[in-house]
Amino acid sequence: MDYYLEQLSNGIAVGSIYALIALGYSLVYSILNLINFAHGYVIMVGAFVALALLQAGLPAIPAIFLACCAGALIAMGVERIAYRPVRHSNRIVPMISALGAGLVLAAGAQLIWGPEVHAFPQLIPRVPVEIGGVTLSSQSLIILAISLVLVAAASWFLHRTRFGIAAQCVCQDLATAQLMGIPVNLIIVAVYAIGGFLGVAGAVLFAMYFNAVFIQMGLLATTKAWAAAMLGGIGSFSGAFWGGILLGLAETAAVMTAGSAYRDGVSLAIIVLVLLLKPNGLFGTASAERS
Amino acid sequence: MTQKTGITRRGALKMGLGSVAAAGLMARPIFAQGAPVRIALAAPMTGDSASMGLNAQRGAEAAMKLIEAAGGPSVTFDIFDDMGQPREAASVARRIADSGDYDLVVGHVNSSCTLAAMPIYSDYEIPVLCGSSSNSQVTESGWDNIVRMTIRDDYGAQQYSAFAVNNLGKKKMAILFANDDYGRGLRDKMMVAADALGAEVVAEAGFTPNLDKDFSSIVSQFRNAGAEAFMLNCNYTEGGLFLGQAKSAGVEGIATVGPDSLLYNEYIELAQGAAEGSYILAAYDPYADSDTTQAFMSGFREAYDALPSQVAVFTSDLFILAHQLMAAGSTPKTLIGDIKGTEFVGVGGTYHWDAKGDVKDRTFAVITVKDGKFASTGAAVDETGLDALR
Repeated sequence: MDYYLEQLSNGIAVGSIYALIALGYSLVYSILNLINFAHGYVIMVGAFVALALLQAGLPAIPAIFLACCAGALIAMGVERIAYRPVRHSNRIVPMISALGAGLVLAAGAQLIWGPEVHAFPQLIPRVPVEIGGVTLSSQSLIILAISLVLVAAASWFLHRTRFGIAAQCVCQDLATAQLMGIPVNLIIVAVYAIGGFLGVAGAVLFAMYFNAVFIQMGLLATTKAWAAAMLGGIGSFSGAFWGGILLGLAETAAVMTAGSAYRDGVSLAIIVLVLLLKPNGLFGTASAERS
Repeated sequence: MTQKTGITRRGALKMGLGSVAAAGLMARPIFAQGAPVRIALAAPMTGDSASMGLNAQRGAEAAMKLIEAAGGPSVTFDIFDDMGQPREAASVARRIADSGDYDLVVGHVNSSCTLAAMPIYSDYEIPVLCGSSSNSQVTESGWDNIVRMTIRDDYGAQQYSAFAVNNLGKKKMAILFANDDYGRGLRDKMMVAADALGAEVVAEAGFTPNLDKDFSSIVSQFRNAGAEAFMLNCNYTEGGLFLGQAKSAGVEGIATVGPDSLLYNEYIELAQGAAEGSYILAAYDPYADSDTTQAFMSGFREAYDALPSQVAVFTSDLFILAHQLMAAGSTPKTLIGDIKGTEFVGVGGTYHWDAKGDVKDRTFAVITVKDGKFASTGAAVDETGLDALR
């Protein structure tokens, strides 16, 4: 029994990290209906920045905060350079330019930090915590808590603040929103910045949990975030959260039954099944797609 | 990375055959006049095992300095990138053979690449001096134009298991393996060896090399199975990450044994303290009490600020071996036969070869991690119980 709970806790920890990465991804999608292929690469660079700042001797919290800000800045840069000029083109164009921006970021990061896997310092203590007779790892719980707080905050921000409502207007109709006096460019840049900020927070947790920062993390994070967002219902925040958790649990179940080598195969098969039954994801709404 | 341009494939093939024939006829007088020994170094310079290719290149560069100092015919070499992929390795072999520009090949690194390239070298009778390909098939496939430096996997798997069971007294092994030819082959042979030694494999887990970074659920599996020894059949990245994640899950102090693909400083760094006390069985001893070895180690450290890996050491030794024999009158045709009849003392110790091209009488050096650094233990593997397998 303990064994299954331990695996459950592993799954939830991995899932919470996916959820946080998927959140930034979903945010951009929900406003712009755009698959942001650069997201994973932006947050990979953010994780490297966090590592560099920590190695330079900065205390953990300012280092991570600055790295998240760096992630926001890079996301804004990507928006300015790779998205804005092609915003009104066919939907496939910004997707390709995003992928290009991501590859440029990956190549740049490889030039600076090299292709090796780097170790990342353990900043969250990992001790057994007993809740109602069940022993869980403190790290899993803290990661889950951080992820829950950030998801709730992002959701509140988008649904309850003036800025969030303006962002939703941009989502509904970009041209009309502009005519109504909403500063569309500012809103879009801010959405990217928040996505980058949250994504880097997820990437730092990822680096801490796996004790590794590496270039391919960019592609890995993009595919996991995409899968989690699709599973939960792309564009929905609670969907991204639950999608992430479910993906983490599915992966852990795959490792337990079929072996680690089949992790992605089994977990992606589950996602395909879910999408066959519910094409808009578990929490998505049928009208999410805009033509 | 030599590439011929502007020459048709057929033209290159004809030229290649012509010059191979010419080299065969005229080799001896040419070498007497000090013509250079031309080596094709085939290694993965890009792709997932690029760090091994880099080590091969550095080993070759280190050897070139020693060769210059020793005098005799000069040596030139070109690097061919096989990307660690068998398909690419076969195409590299074809290019080397077609060009006819090389007296011998040093390489490849990955066993799967050597196995893919060998039929071509064999057809053209190009001598192949292989450093690090440890798959048993490399010398079991009937090719008579190859020798290798490293110790075979089937023998290695027995030794790793015997060390865990006999030297460390652990009867419950958990095997972590890379889910490729190399890792699966080692696992299979380890299971056989464990059986012969009266030990039990209580858990095994494969992962996708260079992709999987999350070992937390494997750690839980191993703990649940009551493992007493972790057998790591993988390279330093995954080995280090696994131990680091085990430590943060509270799994510490389990005996750990692995091959010399762990012998990189990154292994210690990624394990974040958990590599302390783990054992690595290396096909060469970087801390051997020999002037040649120590001079090479310190020179390499100064030049590259890194511990030379097994690939670097074997590549360097192969360059020097080829140079010594060619200087003494070997030709590409006689080189492999001459190597099998010789005893060579290099950075990696003393080597002899058997008729198949495998090294004879070489044992593993047992290395441990002490105070965050690799250190030699001087221990020898207790082989009790392995007789049944021979």
